[in-house]
Amino acid sequence: MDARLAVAIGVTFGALLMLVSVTSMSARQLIREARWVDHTKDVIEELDGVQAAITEAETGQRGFLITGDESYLEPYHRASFAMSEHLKRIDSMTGDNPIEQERARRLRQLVEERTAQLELAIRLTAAGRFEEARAFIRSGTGRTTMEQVRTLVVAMRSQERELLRVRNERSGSTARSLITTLGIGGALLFAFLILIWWLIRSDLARRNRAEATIRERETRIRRLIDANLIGVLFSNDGSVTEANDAFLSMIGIERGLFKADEHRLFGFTAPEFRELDENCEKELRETGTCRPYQKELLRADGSRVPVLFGATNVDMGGAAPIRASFVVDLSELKRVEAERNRLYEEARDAVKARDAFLSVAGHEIRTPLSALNLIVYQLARQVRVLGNEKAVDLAGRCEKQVARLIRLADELLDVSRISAARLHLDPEEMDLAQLARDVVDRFDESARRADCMLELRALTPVTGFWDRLRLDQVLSNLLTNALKFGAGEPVVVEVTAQQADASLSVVDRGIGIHDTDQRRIFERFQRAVTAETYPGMGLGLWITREIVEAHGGKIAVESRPGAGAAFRVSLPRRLGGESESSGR
Amino acid sequence: MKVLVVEDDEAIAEALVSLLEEAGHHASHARDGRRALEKLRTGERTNLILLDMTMPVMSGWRFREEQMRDAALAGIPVVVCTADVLAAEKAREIGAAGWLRKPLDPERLLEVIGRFCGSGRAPS
Repeated sequence: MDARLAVAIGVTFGALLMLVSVTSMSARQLIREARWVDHTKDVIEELDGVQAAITEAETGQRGFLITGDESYLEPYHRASFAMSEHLKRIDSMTGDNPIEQERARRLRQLVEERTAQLELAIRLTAAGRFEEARAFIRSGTGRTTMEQVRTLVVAMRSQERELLRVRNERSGSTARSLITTLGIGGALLFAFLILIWWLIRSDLARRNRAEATIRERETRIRRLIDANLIGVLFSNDGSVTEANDAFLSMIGIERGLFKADEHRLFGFTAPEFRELDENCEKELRETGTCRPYQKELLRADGSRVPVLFGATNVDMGGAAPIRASFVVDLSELKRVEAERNRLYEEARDAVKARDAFLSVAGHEIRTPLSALNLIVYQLARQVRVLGNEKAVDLAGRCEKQVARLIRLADELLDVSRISAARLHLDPEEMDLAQLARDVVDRFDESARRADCMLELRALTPVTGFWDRLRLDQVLSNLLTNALKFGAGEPVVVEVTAQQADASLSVVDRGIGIHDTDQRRIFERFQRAVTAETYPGMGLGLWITREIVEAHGGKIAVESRPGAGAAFRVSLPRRLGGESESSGR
Repeated sequence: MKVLVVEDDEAIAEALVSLLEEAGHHASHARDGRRALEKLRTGERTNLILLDMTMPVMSGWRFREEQMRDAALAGIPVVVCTADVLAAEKAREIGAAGWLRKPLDPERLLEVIGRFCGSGRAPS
């Protein structure tokens, strides 16, 4: 029950009890006061009765005295008896009031005195002593006594009327407060009853809403279970109470042959995963939820199925919580994962095989190249001595092609070295400006053939601790590219020095590189142009970047299509403070 | 200048010998370390040894060890000729007088050999 409702009912009940109690007390008070009013009225009546009885006794006595007829004495006797009865009742009724008690005693004396006077006149008359009787009556004793009686009765009546007025007022006041109490109490009770009615209505509405929510949730859960997207199991105290078709299909049991209560929740687990189940059970006890974990279930035919299993306690209002377990079949995922791993291994082996091939091929090619280089060199010298121009030209071309072959073989070897993190540096103290001059000189003829004007800006020596041959390779690669893509426009090589770094830049005004290609061109086998228009293997800039980074430096390109390209290399002048070479 | 070329590849060895002869030096060839030692011990006068490192029968390293043990031969300067990227390091390891990387640059080869002419000793 709603706490507010309980409080309202309690308060209402308390108020009702209080109202009954107050009303009851007031009613009793009212009854007591009414009795006192009646009592006072009775006293007044008795006083009137006394006066009337005396008058009646006097009337009877007078009749007898005048007529001598004794029948007139009958009312006299009846009145005498009545007087006695009235006086007795007045005595007893004024017992609570000492003044009135005293007055009653005095009244009795006067009445008795008056009765004695009447009796004396009757006796004298009955004895024929008329004159004595008249003389006694004429003496006025009787009238005086009677006057005293009347005065006293008036005083007593007045006193009783005053009492009656006071008691009437008190009784009226009590009646009014009773009515007021009943009115207020009734109104309060009515208000509380309205409140209780409203609370009961709210409580019912709330319950209805809560029940509707629960029904909706149950419907959703039921839909989830019936959708059979994942296996769902319900269990109570370890025993399975319900399983959906998806789960049954996972463990290979037909719906018709499945008796839920014959199975334990963890009874499907393959033996080596029991420890994980125990951890799950512990987690459920401690936190109410067991985080998903992978295990294998035993199918009805003895085969296994890999699953992801998770469980949670569901409070259904019973003594022990119901457990809902969710089981996802991972067979397909595992198969895909295995396939992916296989493909990854294959790809990795293929890359390894390629790099190994490049390494072996590089070495194997270099040996005959080494011999060829020496032979062609001698041939060219011989031909120059003989002076046959055509032969000199051909020998010169041979030399260039051999040099080109050597560079290609070097690049292939560099691929395998860099891939195997074996790029070796032989650093020495050297002048980058001088190196740039040597390389630019070497490229003089190539520049002329490409119709490019080659300008070097290297005014002062820029010394540092670097691998001379590798930096030669860096500048050669950048210059080769600049001449290749320079569109016959001037190419500028610049070497400058800062405090801790040296900068080398090669700027052309050629075809430029699109934004999307600028990052890609530094990757292995990546090119911004097609092999049909500009032949090449896509290794030069990658090797260049690797060499620069092996020196702890950076290379960047700024370019726009059609506006040329600026390659900027920055190199720390010391290799991380080391004097020895290091590989990467 | 008498140069001994220790090289297992015939084509390279022949081209080297030819080049050196052409440049006015006397050159002979041994196809491995053992044969080179035999030639030196049989009294062949030599001012400089061009030594390949990777060879069958006796490698360049083994040859250099044997040479250093033999007081009569230890003084002959050795220039390492190898395709290995670690040529300089290898040369330092065996205490060689110089190094050249294959494929050999003929002009640099002649320049290095030229440094040994006259002095009989090479700068390190």
